[in-house]
Amino acid sequence: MPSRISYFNKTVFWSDQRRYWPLTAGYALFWVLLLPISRLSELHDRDLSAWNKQFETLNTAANAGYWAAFVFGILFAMAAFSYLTNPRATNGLHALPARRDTLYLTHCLAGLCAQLAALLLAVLLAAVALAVNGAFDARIVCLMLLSLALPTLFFYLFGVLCMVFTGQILAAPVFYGILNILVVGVELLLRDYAGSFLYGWSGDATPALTVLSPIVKLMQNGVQAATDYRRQVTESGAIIMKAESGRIFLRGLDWLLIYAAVGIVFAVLGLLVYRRRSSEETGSTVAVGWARPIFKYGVAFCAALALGRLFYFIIFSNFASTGANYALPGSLLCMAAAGLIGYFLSEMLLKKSFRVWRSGWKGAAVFIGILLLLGVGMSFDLTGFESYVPTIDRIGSANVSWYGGNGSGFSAASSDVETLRLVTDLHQAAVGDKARQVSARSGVSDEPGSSSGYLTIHYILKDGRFISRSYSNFTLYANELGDNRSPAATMTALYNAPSVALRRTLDGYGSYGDAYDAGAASQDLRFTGGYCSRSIWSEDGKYLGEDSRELTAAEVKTVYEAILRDVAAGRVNDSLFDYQPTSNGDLELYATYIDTTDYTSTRPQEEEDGRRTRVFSPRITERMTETVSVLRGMGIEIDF
Amino acid sequence: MIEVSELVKSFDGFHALDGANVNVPKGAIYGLVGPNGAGKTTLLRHLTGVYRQDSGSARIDGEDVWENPAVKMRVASIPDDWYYFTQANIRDMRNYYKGFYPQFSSERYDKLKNVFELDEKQAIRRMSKGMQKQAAFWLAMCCMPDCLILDEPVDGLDPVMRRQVWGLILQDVSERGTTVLVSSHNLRELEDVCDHVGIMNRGKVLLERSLSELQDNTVKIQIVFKNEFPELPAELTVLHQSAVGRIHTLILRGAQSDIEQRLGAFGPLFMEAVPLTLEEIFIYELGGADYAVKDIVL
Repeated sequence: MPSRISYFNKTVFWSDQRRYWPLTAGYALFWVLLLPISRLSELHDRDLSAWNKQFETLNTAANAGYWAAFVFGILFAMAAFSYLTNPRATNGLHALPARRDTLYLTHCLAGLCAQLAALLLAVLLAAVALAVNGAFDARIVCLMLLSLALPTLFFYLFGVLCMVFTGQILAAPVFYGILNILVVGVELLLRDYAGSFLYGWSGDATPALTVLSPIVKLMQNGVQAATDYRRQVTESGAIIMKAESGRIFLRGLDWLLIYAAVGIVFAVLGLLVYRRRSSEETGSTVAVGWARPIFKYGVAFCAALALGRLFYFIIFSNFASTGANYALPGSLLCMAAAGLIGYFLSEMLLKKSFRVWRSGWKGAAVFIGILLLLGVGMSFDLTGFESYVPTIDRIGSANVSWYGGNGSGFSAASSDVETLRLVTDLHQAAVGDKARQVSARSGVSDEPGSSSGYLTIHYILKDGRFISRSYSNFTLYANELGDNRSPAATMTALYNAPSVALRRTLDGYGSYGDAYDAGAASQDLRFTGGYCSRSIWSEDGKYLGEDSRELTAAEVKTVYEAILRDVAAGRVNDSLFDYQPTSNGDLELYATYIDTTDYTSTRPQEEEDGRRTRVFSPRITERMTETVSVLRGMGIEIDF
Repeated sequence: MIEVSELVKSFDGFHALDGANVNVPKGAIYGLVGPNGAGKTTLLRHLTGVYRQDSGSARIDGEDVWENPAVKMRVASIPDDWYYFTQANIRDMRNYYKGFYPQFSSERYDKLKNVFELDEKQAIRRMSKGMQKQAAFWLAMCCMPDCLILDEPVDGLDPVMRRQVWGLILQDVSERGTTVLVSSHNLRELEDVCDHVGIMNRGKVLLERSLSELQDNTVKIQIVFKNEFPELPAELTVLHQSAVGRIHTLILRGAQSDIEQRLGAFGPLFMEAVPLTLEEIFIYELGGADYAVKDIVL
């Protein structure tokens, strides 16, 4: 007689509900407290509009929704599938007249329904609270439910998949937690390690694989209430995104939908694994045969990265502090040691025995061999990473920063060809000087006639790619200034390039470089006024007070034009080797500029013209004769 | 009814079952005996659908048990580690079983209430091991199974309750034709209730016969010769031989009449066939399979 195929068993379903009702009740209580009850005072606030009440209520649900789903997802999965971690329970349930499919799907559904019931209750109560306060909107209620249900679907089914893969109740939350951040963690560690192997490696870039680390992605992306914005271009050309009250939506819904779909895929995967999972594997750390090697070598690899970094830090931190970051042998040694620990630890977990040395040494040797080969291979720069310098025709813009040990420093952001050429010259000089720069790192770099610092170069290519290089303890030698291809000469050339010189002159004491860039790019820098103050001292050094005055817009414009003339004439050019910070008192130039980036205004009532105000505090030197003369003409004396 | 054919199951390379064959006729009470680690529990778990075989088959009424709820509905089992929910009492577990076994008899449940005299509302985890075993029997019998699979079923029960339980099983067998497969080390008890016996060792069933066949095919002879013990013909399979004075005790495999005729040819002074217990058959059969009782001097 063929067996009747059924995918649901109501006895199992209701038995599950009875067994973990305290968890369901706790979850419901959590949401009832968070959604309707904690918001009661705000909902009763007569000054708050219905729109704001809806917005804030949805925002509360959305912000907490994925975090609660993340935490409770694994708890419900553990409750629903706890029998898979107890041999007696596994055998007992699998002996009952029900197919594996039926058991899996019913337990799965039971856990999901318990959570959804709790969420539904909370959302309904929130809806009642909104209705009582005249702010009910069915769409908002639906969005609230979605913001809670979608992450629940994903995280719970992810938890179920973890439960199906393991036979140890405590292993499930560990797997779940680690897998939620694993990819980003490994990527960051790999980036960190690459700095030990690759000259010029920059660890600054944002992780590219966050999408594979769900909780990180949702956190980074944000799930929140939002409203529509209207794009408005002002007369001055600024772009303002103006909030339009009325329509509220859920930002991050797209990712929630994607992850919910992935959750369904996980559920199907879980079913396939459950079918193949042997009852006798209950109690094993990894209950599925083919996943064991993945677990073993995965743990070893992650241990090599994470623990290896820790070892390196503990053992070689003294060397690192003297600049020995490019410590390949030390890094490899630490990685190998940590990898071995990870390998045998995972072997012990899999075999449930401490006696794994004899059986595991071959695998460990192969693993360490591959790890070392990879490390050494990376250091040989097989991909050509270290020597790659993009050609000017491929570069859209570049940004260079230099933080010299003697206090000198500048940052240059430019897209003009001449400056880009100077940037690539510097980059090329850094690449060509690799051998000396690497060896100099372990020595004393502050010798006379040299300057060490931290150099970063970022390119945005025309095809949208982002290239970043960092050189720590990068040393410049003054006696090489005559060699146009040397790091010192190329750096100085960039330092004194007109656009860079203007920027560092205007940005003498502040951090308004970005504002300057935006203003300069818009070519609509409008000066609105200024301020000048100077301390007055008697000849015998007694403080006599402040001499301060306001500057008119016309005066400030005159000063600015004088600065431009000084820059053009090369009178702001400076040396990176004898940098002497000077103070001229306070000279502030107030300006507005058009923000060409999208500016999002959440204040629909206010009119915006898109102009931003910034203050420049230029650094005036004695050599800037044009500027000094203009200031004197205005009665402003600068102390040098 | 129950057919296990060339069943193989390995755990991490260890062959727990190595081509086991079992045939239990409908309505029989089949005792599965064997030393510790012989593979009895593993075999029973295949018949309850818990384990999936590596190869071979485990069938009931010609149908595979694995993933076959229709077959499993007709099977009730009491493993040596019966499972119940931590918070559950007998009534909860009754409701649970009712959901899986459509033929679950509430009428029988009420009748057996008087037999087992357990508090239905008491949490099962609070009960003694023997009481839990009674609860397991109570519920299993109410599932009205066609096939009852028992692993060390009366372990933990007091003598009165043991008799009571066996009485219930025998009654079910006689009234409903239930087929019973029972694994136990209590050979004395099995001898009283089983009509078929299978002896397992190292993942294989060494022999399986009806108890009467088994007892007819193994003969214990006490014999006294006038002179030295003669060299026995090769056709006689001697499972065990011992002597106390001039009295020799032989355990031989074969028909009693044939053995007596062959030994009679040596002109013994005295010869008598003594009935063999199941325990003796078990010990002497396994002695031939390198599982003899070893004389250990402490």
